[in-house]
Amino acid sequence: MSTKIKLWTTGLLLITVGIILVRIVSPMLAQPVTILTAYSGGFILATIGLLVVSLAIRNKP
Amino acid sequence: MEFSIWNFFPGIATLFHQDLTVAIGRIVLICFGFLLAYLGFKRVLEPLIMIPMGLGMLAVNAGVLFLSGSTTGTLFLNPLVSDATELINLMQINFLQPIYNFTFSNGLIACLVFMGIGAISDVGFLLARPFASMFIAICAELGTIATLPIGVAMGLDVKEAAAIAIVGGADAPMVVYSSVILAKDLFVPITVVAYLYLSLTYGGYPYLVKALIPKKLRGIEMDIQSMPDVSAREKFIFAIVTCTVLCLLFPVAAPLFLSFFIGVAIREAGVERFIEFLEGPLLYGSTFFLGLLLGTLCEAQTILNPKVFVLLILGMLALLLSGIGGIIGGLIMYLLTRKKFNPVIGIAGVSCVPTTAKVAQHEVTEANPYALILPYAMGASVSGVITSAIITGIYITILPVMQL
Repeated sequence: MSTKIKLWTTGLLLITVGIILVRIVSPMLAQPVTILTAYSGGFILATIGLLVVSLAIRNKP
Repeated sequence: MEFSIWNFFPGIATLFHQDLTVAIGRIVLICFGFLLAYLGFKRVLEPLIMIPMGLGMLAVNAGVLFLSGSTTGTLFLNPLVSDATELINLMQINFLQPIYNFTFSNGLIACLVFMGIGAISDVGFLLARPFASMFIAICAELGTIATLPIGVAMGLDVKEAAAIAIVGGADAPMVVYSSVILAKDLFVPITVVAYLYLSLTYGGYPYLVKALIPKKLRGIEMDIQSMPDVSAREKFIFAIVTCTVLCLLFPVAAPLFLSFFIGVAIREAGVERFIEFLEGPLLYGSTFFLGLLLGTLCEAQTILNPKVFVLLILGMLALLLSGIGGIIGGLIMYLLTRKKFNPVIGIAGVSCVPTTAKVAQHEVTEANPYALILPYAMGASVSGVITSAIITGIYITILPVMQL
């Protein structure tokens, strides 16, 4: 597998996990602290995923 | 109403029929409007906003008249009306009422400005150095994050504190958008404070840079040659992926993300007709009406609010903290890169595109005429726009959900 594909896969995976945490997991929680934790965790993962995707976009095969 | 010579001069006569505080407020705002317009003319403040805003402010406070009986009002607009029938009637009387209701109260004007900003933003600088740019931009959000608890401690509601904290992102359309959603009652003073202070950043940040960064560090030369070329295709794909992800994460702020990235996508697709439209008539047309409406919203009766003083302090604090945060980010990058990174780039993380990037380059040129940092500064500045939009998205999504 080329580096480009690896970066794309990792980035999209991180983004997907992040979105699931933010949009699906956090609304199911009850305590504000756990909501905030799931939300921030998901957001950080998605942001890292975006940065990895930006590296994948730039990576020349 | 009995006959009086003053009835021929209702603008003056209404001063004596109103509450003394409101009357004094009107006179002060007329003088303040004149001052803003003049400072815009002298280029001390940003003329694109300050001339229409200053004129709007003085006209709305001078042009108060008797409407029916002893009630007073203007023929500009009434931002407080909520009854549908009354609104329809007012739209046929107040000349700016349709623009206010169809572009301000739904955040459209902020989105239109954002489309124009997108069309003038080159994400290539961000893609060339994504981690450094994003790190600095996140540090430069210090004011946006720290002002929220400070605002709450100073007696503001958490949503009002969040709305004024967004000023730290130094992105005025974002402030308009978030304050309309989070603090509708305070949206006029918050937005006026934001525009006023953002006009002053150009003058104030150079002093902050000089105070916090020694001249030796300000003159560090950056390696521009090693910056990778980013093709239009790569930038286009980045815009589309980022827009999709951010809309999925923060649907409440999706209009903002769409507006910014549609501008970027059109720019990278090279659709010349659209680019000309977005960065010319749309951007400047909406900026003009934004300034004019903000001015006319500053009627003494509407704007006189005991919280305005707190907003003035918090707005300044937010921008100051963001500037300091950006510089701290620049200094951390300087240490991480073994003294090869010019820390002045940190100030560009405050997302006033392209003002802060130009301020950074200007300060560097003063210290070393051969040092060029503008591409790095633009990367940090464009990242700043994206991080500001993300933090706005977080605030307007999570604060209502957490029912704080």
